Amino acid sequence: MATVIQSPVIGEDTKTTPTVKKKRRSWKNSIAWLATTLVILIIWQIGVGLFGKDYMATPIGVITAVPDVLFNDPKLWPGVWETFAVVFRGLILSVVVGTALGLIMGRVTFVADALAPYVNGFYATPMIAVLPIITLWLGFNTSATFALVVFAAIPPMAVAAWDGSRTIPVRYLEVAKSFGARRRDVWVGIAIPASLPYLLAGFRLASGRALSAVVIAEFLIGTGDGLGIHIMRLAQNFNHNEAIVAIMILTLVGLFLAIGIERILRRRYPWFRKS
Amino acid sequence: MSSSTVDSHAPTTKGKPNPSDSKRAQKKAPRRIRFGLMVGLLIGAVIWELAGRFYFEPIFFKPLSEVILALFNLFTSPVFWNALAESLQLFVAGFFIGTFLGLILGIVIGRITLIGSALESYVTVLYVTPPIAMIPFVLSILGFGYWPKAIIVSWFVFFPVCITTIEGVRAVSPRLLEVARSFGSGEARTWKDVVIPSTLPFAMSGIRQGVALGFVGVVAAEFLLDASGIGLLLRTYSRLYQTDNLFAAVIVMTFLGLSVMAIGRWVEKRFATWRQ
Amino acid sequence: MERSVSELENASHSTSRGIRVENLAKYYGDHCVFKDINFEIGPREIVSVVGPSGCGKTTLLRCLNGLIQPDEGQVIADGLQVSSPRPGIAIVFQDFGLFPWKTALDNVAYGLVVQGMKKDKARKIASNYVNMVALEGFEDRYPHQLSGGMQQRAGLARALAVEPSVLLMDEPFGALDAQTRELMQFELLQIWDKNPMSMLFVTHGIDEAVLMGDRVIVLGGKPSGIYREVDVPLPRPRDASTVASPEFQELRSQVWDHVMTVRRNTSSDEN
Repeated sequence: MATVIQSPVIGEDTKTTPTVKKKRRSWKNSIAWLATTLVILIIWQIGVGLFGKDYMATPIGVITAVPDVLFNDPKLWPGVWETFAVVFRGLILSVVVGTALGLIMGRVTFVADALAPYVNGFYATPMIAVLPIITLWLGFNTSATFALVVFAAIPPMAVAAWDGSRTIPVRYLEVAKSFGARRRDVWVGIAIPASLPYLLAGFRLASGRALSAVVIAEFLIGTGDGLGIHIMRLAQNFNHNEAIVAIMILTLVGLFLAIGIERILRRRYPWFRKS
Repeated sequence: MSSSTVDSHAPTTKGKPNPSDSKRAQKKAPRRIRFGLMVGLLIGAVIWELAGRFYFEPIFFKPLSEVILALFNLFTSPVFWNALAESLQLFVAGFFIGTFLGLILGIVIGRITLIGSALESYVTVLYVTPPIAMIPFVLSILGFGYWPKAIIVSWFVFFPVCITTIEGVRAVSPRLLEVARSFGSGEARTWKDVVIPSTLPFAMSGIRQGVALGFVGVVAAEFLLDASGIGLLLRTYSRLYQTDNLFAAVIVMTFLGLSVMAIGRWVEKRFATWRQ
Repeated sequence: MERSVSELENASHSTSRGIRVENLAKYYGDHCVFKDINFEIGPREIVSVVGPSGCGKTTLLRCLNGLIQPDEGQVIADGLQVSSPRPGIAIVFQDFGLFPWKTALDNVAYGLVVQGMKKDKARKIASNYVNMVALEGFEDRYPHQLSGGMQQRAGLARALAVEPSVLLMDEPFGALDAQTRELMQFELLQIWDKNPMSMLFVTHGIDEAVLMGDRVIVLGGKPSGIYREVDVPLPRPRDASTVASPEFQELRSQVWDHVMTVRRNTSSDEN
């Protein structure tokens, strides 16, 4: 974001052609995408066959493991449920608390100064390092996992909301004032929409960190039936194909949180740009 | 992901304001005395001390004064410095491998558009997968030792560097490429004059993120793989219930993290003097 | 390949035979941008091109530089067909196209360096052109530290520094405010009077077209083509008094009428 380089519009005349060019490009792209994917998969399959060990995951192995894992693994869906329940509860709490903190910090400099060292400090501390303290306090259970998720997700939300509310373009505020807007109008009508791009960027970061946190916590706590534990056990029992299928679920949720939510918002609010 | 140049932004940068937009309001009083900062730190310290002294069991929580004492002991013990050196060495190795591969692959993907768009989708998918989830595989394939850990660290570093480099290469202004062409510049010269200088700030912001993530990767690898360095220290303190040492070590991690981020920001700034 | 300044000068002036456009046509898929374009710019002549947006002015200019290839016809500069960009034809862009990571001086020297000149020498020559466009004192600034007018001065100096025999101007003052634009027009005229070359001046501004050009080509139609060519017999050197003359006003309203007429039947998506 900080690094946007202004791209000039090259010539009015290029505008007349995009439809033709775009179509051709996307058609070519999908062919290239398929070809590249095939090449990657073939190299992977043959590579493991030649140099790898027999328990290592191969494309064919992963594909055949998909129905097995999805339909015949009694531990998968409960694990998915348990893990993502923690992630979503943690994210909701973090979004609410983090946004509130950040907005206050953006409007009241004194609060910002007072809280900044804590927000930045928690942000910079690797979450694995705090996990021993959390387990010391809460024990080796789901509440420790939940606490780590919240610890991981609040700082990016707070920083994003802070940045967003600090950087509302003055011009908008001037326009609002010149039309006699009330305080409430400024908040609802300007402050929140204007900082929405920041909040969204913060949410992407927060959700990524929350996913990492849940996996770390489950790996280290080592008890329970979460998806992370399940992945760990599958991998340690040399069921790599099955473990990769389980990881794919994690990835899909990650993709949804990173991209899906933004897409939905953008469809709902067409004015909304990435910025 | 979108390949439009105007839209491009690093997916993991914090919501930083766009520098090209001068209409942003940014209150930046020069040399403001931050009373809030002092008050905040003071209140925090007092609460910590009092809570440790009068409220919590000493096993769970130590007052600030004892943690500071533990911090001093830590700084005077060679065990700590050896651990730090070990972790640092792991970090440097992983960081360089990850950065190198990230830059190379980023340039290739960004420049060779056809193959690039296919590879990019995989990089994106792997990027949203928590890198920690790779640890069990590395463990069961490569076992314990130094290199599995270095691989994990470079895995952490690779993705932000690669993705921002792709964006950087794509964001090269078509106008400037045209300028180069209109003056008859060859491909090599165009790289030197246009592609590399305009990609560099992007790559640097990726490297900044890579530095921070690599630090996380070091702790994760040292915790979950062959225990060593700071990770081993943390593990030992928590197993032995040396709460004061544990707190002290976490504080060290916090300051390391903060300084790692500050270094990253400095490096990023350093390479973009021509920007506002 | 290294060249001395005098050689460059020779290349640009003694052998300059202007630029000729023959039966030029450009298509994008089925869409015809323009066709049947014929005109010539003499070695010391300025030709302005005006027309509604979407009429292919910019595409035409790119064909003249060799940045894009026409689908029919050819461009001949100094007796040679233009098939790709080459020294001798320089271009000035509306949005300046300065390298944000190069100082003003290095931006001006860019064309010389690309053509193989040693950096020190290129800088020395570039600083002459920096002076010519009145940028002295700003050599070490980066583009974002310069105003729009100053940036375009640098863009102009960069093009002039390679001593082109043909200078292509792509709405060069379109991004500037009205006052700066006027100032730059007269300065460009002064520079050109001292050191005339063939110039194609693409613009939106009808006043600007008449002020700069020896002829004004009105582009437009469906598909786009040369709708009218208006001679501008105003004496040179031209300055602020030129604009005030009744002849100028007469020519200006003539061109205006042509543009308005052609605008009605040009295939353009209004924007």
